[in-house]
Amino acid sequence: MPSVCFYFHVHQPIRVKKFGVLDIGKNIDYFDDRHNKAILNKVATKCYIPANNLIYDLIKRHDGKFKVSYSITGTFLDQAKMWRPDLIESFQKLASTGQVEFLAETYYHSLTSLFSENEFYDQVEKHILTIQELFGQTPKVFRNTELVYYDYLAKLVSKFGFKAILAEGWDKILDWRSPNFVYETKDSHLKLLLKNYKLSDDIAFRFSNKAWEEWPLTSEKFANWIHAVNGNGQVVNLFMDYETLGEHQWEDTGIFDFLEKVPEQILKHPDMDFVTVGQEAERYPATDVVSMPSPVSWADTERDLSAWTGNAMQQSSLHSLYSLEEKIKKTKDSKLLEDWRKLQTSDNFYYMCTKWFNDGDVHKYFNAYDRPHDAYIYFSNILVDLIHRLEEKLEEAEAKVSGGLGKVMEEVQGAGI
Amino acid sequence: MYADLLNGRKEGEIKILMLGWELPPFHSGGLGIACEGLTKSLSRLGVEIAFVLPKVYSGGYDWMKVYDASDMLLENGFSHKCVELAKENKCCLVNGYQKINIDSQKKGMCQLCVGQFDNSPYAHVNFYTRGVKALAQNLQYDLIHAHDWMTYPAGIAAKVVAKEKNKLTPFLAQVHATEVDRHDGKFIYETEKAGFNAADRVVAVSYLTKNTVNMYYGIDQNKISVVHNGIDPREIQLNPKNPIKKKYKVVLFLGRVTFQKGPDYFVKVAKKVTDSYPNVKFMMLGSGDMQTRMIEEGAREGLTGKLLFNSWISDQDKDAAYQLADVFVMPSVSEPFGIVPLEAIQNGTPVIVSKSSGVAEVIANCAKVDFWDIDMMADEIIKLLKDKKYAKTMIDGAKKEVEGLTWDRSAKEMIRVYEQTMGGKVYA
Repeated sequence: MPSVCFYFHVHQPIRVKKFGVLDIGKNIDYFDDRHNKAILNKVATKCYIPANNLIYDLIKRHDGKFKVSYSITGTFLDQAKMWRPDLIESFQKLASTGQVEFLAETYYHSLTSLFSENEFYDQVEKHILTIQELFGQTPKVFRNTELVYYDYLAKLVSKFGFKAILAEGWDKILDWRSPNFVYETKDSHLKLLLKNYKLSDDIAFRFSNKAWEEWPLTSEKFANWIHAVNGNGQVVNLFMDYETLGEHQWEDTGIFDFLEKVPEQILKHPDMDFVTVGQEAERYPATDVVSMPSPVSWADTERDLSAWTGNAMQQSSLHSLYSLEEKIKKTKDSKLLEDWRKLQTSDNFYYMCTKWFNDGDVHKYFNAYDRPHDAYIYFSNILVDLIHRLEEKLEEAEAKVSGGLGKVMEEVQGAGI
Repeated sequence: MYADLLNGRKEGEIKILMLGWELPPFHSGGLGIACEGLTKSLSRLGVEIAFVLPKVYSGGYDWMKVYDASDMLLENGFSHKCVELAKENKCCLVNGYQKINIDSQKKGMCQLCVGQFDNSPYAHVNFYTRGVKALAQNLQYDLIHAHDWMTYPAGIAAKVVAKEKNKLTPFLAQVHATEVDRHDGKFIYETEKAGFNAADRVVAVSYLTKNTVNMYYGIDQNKISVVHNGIDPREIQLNPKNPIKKKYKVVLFLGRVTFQKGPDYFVKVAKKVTDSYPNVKFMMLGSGDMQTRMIEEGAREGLTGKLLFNSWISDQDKDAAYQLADVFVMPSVSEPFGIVPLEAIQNGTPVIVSKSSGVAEVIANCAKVDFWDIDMMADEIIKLLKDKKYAKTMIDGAKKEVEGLTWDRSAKEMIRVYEQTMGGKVYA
């Protein structure tokens, strides 16, 4: 009696401006509000609004038998709060059905787990608090940015008391094992929920591909594939970007009609049901331990980190950015800290990716700039400006200290934050 | 007021048919700027100029008559897809100066009509030549002055047209840059060589270029005159001091990021200097076919935030960039003249120039280094950044020198060359 778990990732990066060398030192904001707002509005129309409405209808129609799980990034929530509060309300309405579970992740959709443990904790905590505040739930399941998972990550998140963590069900790791079972992380007792990438990608990537032999994909056909798991698995994890619905696969591909019929088709089989990620972790015992010593992501054909850390521009930018942590935190300047964190969003490094072969099309489509090199140019110019601001702040603080009572006062104030 | 220069001739008595490829504001490099500066001064000094462009994009050249070679082609019943597109501003003839080889499938170069061309790899040059030939029938001129290889075939053609009218008209080929500097292809070299051979006089923008023309093209030294480029004094808008200058020093490279300009040496020197002086920022402003490589190399060397880039910069921002810089570096592998250091000096920034540059011949108050000598270049940068007195003496002296390097001075020298050429034995 296998279950189906729909998990959607909701994200919008906060894209940076085309920041020139002559903009440095002039107190110019880094983030391209106009552009970001326009994109949020566009995707809201094409995806968030119609998709949320449909999911809500499906939950109501199936009387609680249809369930979904979401992880929503802090960068999305920040922008929605500013420009589209109706989107937050729409997700709150979904939360109120009781059939929707929200996951935890790094607030800024960052790769910080790989670079700074303290910063990682800060960002996960900030995200948990935000989800609690907005949706009245405490996340029980964690997903790392880009589904990046490695054994040590399970240890890292253990202090939050999560029940489970998501990862890619990558053949090279699983070998003969199937992603349709619940596993356990190595050396810690977290459940590991693995994405069935074949069935997920049938929707996320291949749905509208007319060259695909299975095109057109109907809900009946898809439900049959899922039913085939019966007797040979516990669960089918369909993990994908929420923007698949209407934005990556446009409405005219029939994606919404497809999704609308999927629940009834799947529920036709009396043995099958839908679960959220937390229910899945609770209901099914782990069948085995799965170990991923080095990071595995859900991106590209390599399923590694090369889309974000593969070339020198990305490595040097990441290194420069994370090397500022101690000083940034020392200033206790909230604007500086927030800017630094927004720059950590993994998309900033994805834009610098120069792998143009198999995944080239995807990369090009999602690049906010003309060339990866332009993304690097703007990012490094911004970095210089950020460091300039940082040093000014530190000097100000030092001047206060040498002024006498300053240091004591600063500590007192600092303790209050 | 320039009566002394006219040597008793009346104003307009020297009529020049001038063949050029571009004029500001539609220019891709220094050539257009040089043509504008020179013709303005020549015209002030009483020379009458008929200037032919492959395509005229705008008016406003009131100091001379400007003709459109593509117009002439159509008026004379010659029709070609490329010319028609040019008339509709859809053909980038004006960009042709840099990359006019239609064999290369480079974006932006006549993708619209390239498929319909005949086999000639340099179709634009051929069109231009035909246009000039048609124009020349109806023009009076005492001397043909052609700028760089693209216009040499047209110069030769104009001479033939004059000869058909039983008039011996000298052809002067000016060299702003040679294929030896650029390395674009054999065809260009051959065109240059044919032009130099056919010319009655060759004018080089520097002694460096004169040597190149002599050594690599086998042209007699005596046939080559040198007229350096100029730069006119102008009011410079001073920008407020950037707050980052409190802590950082800035070293600037500004120009096309191509092999000829030596950007790779700038990256190397950036690494060397910032390793010891992390508060120095290097800026490479400009685009070109080596830019992505330079960006990647900078990143590999860990120069993120130390070596900065900008692909495009407006004229107004150019001044701001010069002023932001404490030192300007031009590490060109081969630079026939190089006007950019003079602009930096006008903005009060001391300069380091490659010894392989023409501009090194006209400015004494600058540091001159071999483009490959990273150690020396680093030493000079550090000295200029550290020793304020040294930097001040250098820039004060350089500013005075630049004040004297006007286009009027260049034009006067050019008129002398015109007179020598027209008064030469053959054309007596």
